[in-house]
Amino acid sequence: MAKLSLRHIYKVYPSRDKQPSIFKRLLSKNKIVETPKDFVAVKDFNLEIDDGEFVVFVGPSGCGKSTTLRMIAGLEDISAGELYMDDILLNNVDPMNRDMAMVFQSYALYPHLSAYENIAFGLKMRKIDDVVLDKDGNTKSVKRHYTKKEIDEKVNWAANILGIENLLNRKPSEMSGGQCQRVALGRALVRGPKLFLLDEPLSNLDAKLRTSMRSEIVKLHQRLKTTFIYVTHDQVEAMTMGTKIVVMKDGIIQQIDKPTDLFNYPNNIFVAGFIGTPQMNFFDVTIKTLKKTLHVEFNDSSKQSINLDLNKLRPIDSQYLDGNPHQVVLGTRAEHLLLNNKDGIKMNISIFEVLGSTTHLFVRFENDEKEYIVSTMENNVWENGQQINISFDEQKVHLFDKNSGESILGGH
Amino acid sequence: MFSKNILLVSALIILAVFVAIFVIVVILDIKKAKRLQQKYTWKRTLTALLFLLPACILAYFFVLLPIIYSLAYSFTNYKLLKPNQIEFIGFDNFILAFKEMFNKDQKLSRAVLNTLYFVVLVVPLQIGLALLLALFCNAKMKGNTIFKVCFFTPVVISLSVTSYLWKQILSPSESGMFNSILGLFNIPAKDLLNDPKTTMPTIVFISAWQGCGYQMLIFLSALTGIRKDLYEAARLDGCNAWHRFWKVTVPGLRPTVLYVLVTVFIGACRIMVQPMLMVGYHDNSVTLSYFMYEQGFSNQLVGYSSAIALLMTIIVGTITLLQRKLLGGKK
Repeated sequence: MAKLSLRHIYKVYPSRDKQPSIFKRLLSKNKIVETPKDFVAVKDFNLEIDDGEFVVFVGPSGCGKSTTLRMIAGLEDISAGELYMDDILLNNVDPMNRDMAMVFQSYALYPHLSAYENIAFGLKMRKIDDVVLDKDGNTKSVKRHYTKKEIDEKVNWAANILGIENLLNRKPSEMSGGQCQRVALGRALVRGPKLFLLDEPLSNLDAKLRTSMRSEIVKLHQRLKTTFIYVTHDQVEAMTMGTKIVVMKDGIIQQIDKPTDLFNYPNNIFVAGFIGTPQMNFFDVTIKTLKKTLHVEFNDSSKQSINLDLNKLRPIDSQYLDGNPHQVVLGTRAEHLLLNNKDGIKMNISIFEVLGSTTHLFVRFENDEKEYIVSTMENNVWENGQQINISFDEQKVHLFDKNSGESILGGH
Repeated sequence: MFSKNILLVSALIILAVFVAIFVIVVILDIKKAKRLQQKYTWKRTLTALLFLLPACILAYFFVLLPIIYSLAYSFTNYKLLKPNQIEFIGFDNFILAFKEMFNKDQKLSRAVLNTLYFVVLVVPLQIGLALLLALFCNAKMKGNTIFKVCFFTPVVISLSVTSYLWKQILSPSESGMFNSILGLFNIPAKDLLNDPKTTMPTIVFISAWQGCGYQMLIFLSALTGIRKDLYEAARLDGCNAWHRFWKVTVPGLRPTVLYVLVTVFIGACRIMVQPMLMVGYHDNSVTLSYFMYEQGFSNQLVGYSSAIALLMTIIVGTITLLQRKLLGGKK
């Protein structure tokens, strides 16, 4: 088990484009010749990971999550910052000496070796510390390879856990994606590493297999109680697997939290929009405090407005409570928009999707193109174009600054 | 008359084979159509075969026919300038070839030994060199392309041109660059190409230098085909650079090595231009192909030359098959 600490980690890739030549600069005379800029993949990454945690890095493609994982593994150099494992600086430690095991998206199984040989490979390569008695009867520490029997026991143990005993003689080309991924997990498992790194291991699997493998990985974590770091772009995977989630965008950490807190208290518009299905609805509104209520005017063409009870809302940043109008973004999840017969704002149903227990209503303001989603469990007969009244669950409303996108609510 | 007969017989055989293939393909197509519950149209099969026909005709005239002629001539006493006096002489050419092959004083035995010597040395040297150059060019560094071009250039230069160039470089006279350099260090001039001890090693070196660029390119493309994540997994599994080479690179290159080995081996067995242009028809430089050429065109013994060609084909073919069996591994 391992405690990991990432302090001010940066990853900068020098520009691959050539610097403009002197001739080009001379020829361009007065024109500005653009010089290629370095690409910052990860910026000021700070994270503390405790023993036995299941940390998930989540974010859209190119947000730097895999790069961060590869820096932890030692497969990428750290441009700046410090990486500690159990208070030992790892920046310049070779990947083979970091005591980490990694599962790759592409499985990375050696194609010429059988499943058994693939799992045993890491054990054959490594030496372990052993204590032996010397001539004088004193104990001394020596390095030795695993014996064939030890390797056999470990491989069979891992195969048993992963249910791949009958696949051990097969080559990777003779196995399905799910089976290959199990072998790849087995290869990581037998090493008994301090840290498991999983780089989008389920991305290549079909939806059904992904769900079952997801729960198997969680069970594996509960059984081993080792630290896991898991990279994914799928927020459902992140929410269901992680004990701590790191949401990233453009190489910058957006929020680090427990899954439920991430869902209920997003720090900014990006996190609010990224986490949760269907995506959170965002309304452009102008807010103004009127005694104990918050007057919310919608900035669409209908100019409708509602009053929200300030006592029910989470505490708002005081600078927005000065009685002056402020442009903000109001966010609310589909299930927190309530259908109401009398009050609320008037919207029209453009289409609806019946999903069985719930129905998704795609609604919009009159003369407006932007769509919002309402999730309801009411079994009414819906019609396209039907006008409905919608009110807000005040306790579940989120407010974000329009310019910075940061949440202006407290109470987390 | 003899030639005309061969032409007629071979053409008939090929035609029969072609018709047989057509019939087999039609039967298979009918079966396939039945299995897929589709309607069979013979026009489809005919169209496919008509597309194949031009290639088949070319292959017949330029590959099959020379082989058939060579096979037929090897059992005759055909002399180059007496095409009307061809007689069937059975296995006489083969018996003579075997007698000369095991007689130390004969040129053929020298040719066999020299060819064997050349093959044994040049195959590992050329492949090893090509692999080293490929690994060097595959490394991330600036100016890679320049090195690739430099290493590949000898391949595109004509064999005769490089042979004359090397002959000039290694010339024992004052104009020879190699001996001029030796002279700077007061080392006596050496005639590497004509000294019986150094003739074949020198030809081996020049051939490997000339040919390895091509194999380097093949290895390079194979190296880029090995997935990077395998190297990364190996690093995490505890492999150092040497282990990674043996456990990831070498298995990844295995199919390529087999291909390169077979092509270099066959090419080496046919060595002729370099000894012919740089040294001449001597005991220390004669090779099987060179001997064959001399017998066929200088001594005009086409029948005898064809018999040796046939023997050589059988030997090279057998060894190539053995290589495939031994190195091919499990599928």
